[in-house]
Amino acid sequence: MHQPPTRQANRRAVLAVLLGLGVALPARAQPAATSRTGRVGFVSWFPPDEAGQVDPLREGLRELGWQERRNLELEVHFAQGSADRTRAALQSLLQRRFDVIVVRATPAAHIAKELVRELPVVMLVSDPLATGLVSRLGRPDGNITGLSLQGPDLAGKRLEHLRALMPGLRSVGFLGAADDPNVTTFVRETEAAAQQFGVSVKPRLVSGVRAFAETDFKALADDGAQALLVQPIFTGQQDRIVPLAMKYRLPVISNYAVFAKAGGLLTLGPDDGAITRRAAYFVHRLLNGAKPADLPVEQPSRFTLALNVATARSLGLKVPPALQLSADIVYE
Amino acid sequence: MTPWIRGRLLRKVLLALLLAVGLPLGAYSVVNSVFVWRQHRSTLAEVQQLQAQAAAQRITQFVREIEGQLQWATHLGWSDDPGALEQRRLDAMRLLRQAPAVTDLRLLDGQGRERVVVSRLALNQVETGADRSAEPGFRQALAGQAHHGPVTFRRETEPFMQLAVAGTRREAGVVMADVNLKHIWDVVAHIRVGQAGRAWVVDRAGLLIAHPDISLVLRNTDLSARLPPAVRDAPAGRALREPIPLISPSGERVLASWANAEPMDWRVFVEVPEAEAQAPLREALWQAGVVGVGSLLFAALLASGLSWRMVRPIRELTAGAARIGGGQLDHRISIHTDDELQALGDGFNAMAAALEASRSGLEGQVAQRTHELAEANRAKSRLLAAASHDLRQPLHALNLLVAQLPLARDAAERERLTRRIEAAVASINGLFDGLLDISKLEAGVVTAHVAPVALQAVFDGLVVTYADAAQAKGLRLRVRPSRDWVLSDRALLERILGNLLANAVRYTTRGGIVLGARRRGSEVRLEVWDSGIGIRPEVQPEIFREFFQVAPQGRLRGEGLGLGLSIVSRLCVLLGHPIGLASRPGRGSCFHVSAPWVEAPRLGPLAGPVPTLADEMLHGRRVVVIDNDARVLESTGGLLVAWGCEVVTAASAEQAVQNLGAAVPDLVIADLHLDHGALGTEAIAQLRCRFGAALPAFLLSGDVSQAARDQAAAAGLALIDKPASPMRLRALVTRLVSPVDRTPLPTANPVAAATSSPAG
Repeated sequence: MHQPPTRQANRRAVLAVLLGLGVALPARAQPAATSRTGRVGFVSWFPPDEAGQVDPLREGLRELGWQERRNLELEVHFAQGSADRTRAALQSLLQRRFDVIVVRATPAAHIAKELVRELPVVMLVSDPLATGLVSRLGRPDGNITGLSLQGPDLAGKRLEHLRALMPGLRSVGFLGAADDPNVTTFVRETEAAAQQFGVSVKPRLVSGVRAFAETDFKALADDGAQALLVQPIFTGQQDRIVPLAMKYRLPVISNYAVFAKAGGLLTLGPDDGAITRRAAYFVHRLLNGAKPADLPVEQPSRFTLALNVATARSLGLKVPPALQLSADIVYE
Repeated sequence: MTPWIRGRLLRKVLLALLLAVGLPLGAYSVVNSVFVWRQHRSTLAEVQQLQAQAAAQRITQFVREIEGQLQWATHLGWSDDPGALEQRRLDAMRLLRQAPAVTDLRLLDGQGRERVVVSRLALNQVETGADRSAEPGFRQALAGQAHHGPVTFRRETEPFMQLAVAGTRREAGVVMADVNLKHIWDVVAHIRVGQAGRAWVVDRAGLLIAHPDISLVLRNTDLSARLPPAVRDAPAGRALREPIPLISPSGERVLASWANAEPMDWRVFVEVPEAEAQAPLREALWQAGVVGVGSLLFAALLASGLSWRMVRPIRELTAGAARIGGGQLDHRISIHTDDELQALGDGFNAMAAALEASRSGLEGQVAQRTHELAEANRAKSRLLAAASHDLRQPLHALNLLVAQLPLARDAAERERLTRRIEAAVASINGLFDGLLDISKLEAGVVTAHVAPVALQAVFDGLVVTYADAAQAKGLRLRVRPSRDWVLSDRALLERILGNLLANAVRYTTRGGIVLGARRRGSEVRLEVWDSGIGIRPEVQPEIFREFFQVAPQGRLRGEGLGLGLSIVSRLCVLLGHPIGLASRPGRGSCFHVSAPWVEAPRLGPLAGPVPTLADEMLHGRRVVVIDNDARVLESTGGLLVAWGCEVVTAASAEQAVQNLGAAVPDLVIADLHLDHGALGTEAIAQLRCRFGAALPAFLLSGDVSQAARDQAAAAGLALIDKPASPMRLRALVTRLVSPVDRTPLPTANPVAAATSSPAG
């Protein structure tokens, strides 16, 4: 071999490169993890003391790989029943070009539907179909999708349970918020069920969730109401509503277990936490580029019946075995 | 070497190696990839099939479990007891709690009347009185089979199925349940095939009822158009072996296998994205590609290395050959490859060395020749100088003598002058004879007629010739008698020895000269000894060249032109007789010539012709002389008249005819070249023709060329060179006019004919 040493070195280098290619090339790199930050705005109609309503969403997002201070910016607004605040919050989010907006409660969803034209919106509402948020559940039109809480659907069922507790029920009051589009459906569904049982419904509508007073309860009691159905939009006000109602011996019936916990008689509704957690799935899909129209509005398939035995006992009501059997949560 | 040629060699080697590597490698890769792909597909099919079957089994189990729970609600019979009815209601509610997928439950009695209704959303009822006996669910359940109704989508989104089961006893009635099929999601969501493979379920109509992405189900995805007819129309319980390519519910291209979920006849699909399914094939191809490209690169490197290693020495060879061919013979090719190419380079080097040696030899020869030519040129110059000097001397003397001749008063004075004139003429003749002999020998017209020659006869003749000259210088000329015969040409041998003797006489001032012969084996060495000035060793090789004279200028000059020894050496070469010299300056020389010895012939001794009286022979002979030179005509004619001949002279054949008239000549002497391009041969022929006889004739000419000789020979005529001595003329004339010699003359040896005069 009469080669100069540099050429030999070159040859070795070429060989090394070839061998390296053979070893290195088959092992290809895995796709890189998502580094983009998802910006999610959460606008709730409810007051901020219901902070628990955000935690399941946060957890759900974390399970799907979205973590705050890493790749998630989650901004939470509580409108406390104020349309103006809701509007301001939504506009602020829009201006700052958030990726996805989550709205809770039907009034907020309607404002979002009106304000937000392009950004995907995830709603957590009682009955999107009935209030016209979407025209179809399976293929929602527009940029809004989310979860139905089937609040009005259960109006009759609640009345049925109440009647099982109070077999002599003849008249029931209904506390509704006039600014919630659901109120019509609620009243209608409740009245339809009440008719079957031969019970009369006394609706008492206030302008907003905070716009009720003791007089309202007194009036209902005076009107002969034996119990009070509270529209779930009043969630967050239970600690004010329940004592006032009980003052006039009006056991409170509503959707969410917080009412039962606060001393209400019974509640029946979907698992609020589970539904909020499910909203994370929508946010995840939308952050990944899915179209809202491709995500059907989901409905809950499980409902929670919560019963406050102490309240029942204080009212002298006897809990029948069938109800006992059906109850998921019993507060003593 | 042009790059193109180098490139071509490289291309060839490259192509060969690439083919040698690429073809088998490529074939292997393709075959290997096909095998890998096939094996992977069959493995994939098996795995998918197994997973699809397992999923189908779990779905069936899911339904069977609900059926089992429903069955439990049909244990009790129906009675009109309200407590019993309440009990059934509680059972139904309990069942609702235990079976989350069931949303509504109807308990029918044996006649198909609706007795209890419990629901998660709707109001619970008892004794509605509705008659459901005509419904297929009721009838099929009563017939002993669980009824699985068609899949419907509530509110156009959630899939539901009616399930109906009858109790063990007919009067126990039938339980009807609405099952929310969303709950199958739990079953399919946890099935993972590979990395992105999923399981999903369609009903008999091709509607999606379960998928890990629940949204697809809730959107009521209809897959009937995407499923191949073979799948759609496959009878229950029959599944295809091979995975089928599909567009999955999520819109991807997938390979899917499926199994039947009994007894609903749903199809449970297990899919793997085509990209993932083909990953092993791509991997195999990729690896084959990497290995292939690597190998090809390596082969290319190897090929270029190899061809470079071949091309480099070949280039070296070509460049070296070009340089050697261009005359740079000292160039050497340097190749150290330890192979045939190095051997080739060494061969080139050896060839160049041989060429170089041969050229330097040639150069030496050329130098020598050039030197010789220059020397010959100088010799010719010397000849001219010598000839002009040597000729001028006797001519000068001749002029003076001739001028004196008319003034001579008495006969004795004339006699003396005549002798001196004859001597001067003889000197001039001798000079010309020497020059002629040299030119004849150089022209190659002299041929040897080899025959046995008696040495004694030659010696005798030579002694007669040179004795007087030797005596005149006071030298003793001694001849040692010999009885030997040699094989030689007598005339040429006489000339050789004569010249040697003449030289000996010329360069010897005192002492004597000895001529002898001694036999040495098969040769006889003829020796001429003298006690002359001798020859220095350094000039001994030179003495045989033309115009070389031993004597210094001035002394001993005027006796010759230095042609004698040159003629001797050429004659010796012609005869094949080696000549040698032994000499010591101041003491003398010995020239010796060797000739082959032969035995004496048996026949008698050579008898010379009986001399006749020439004057008688010539008297009254009529001789015609034709020459275009008037002086020659006059001198030749005068001589012939002096010999007693009757002479007719003419400048041409026509004039000769005219001058002769009717007289028939006895001899014709013609010059070869006459006026107006006419030839002597033609003139002779004309005269012969005129007189109708083969007149004896010969030619005279100053042209010593071979062409002249050829012309004479062609005409069968003797040619005598000018100037001819009167003796030679007379001898020839005498012979030709003698009556015995009336036949045409044989071509005589001109040199032999010219030996009568001493060599110059």
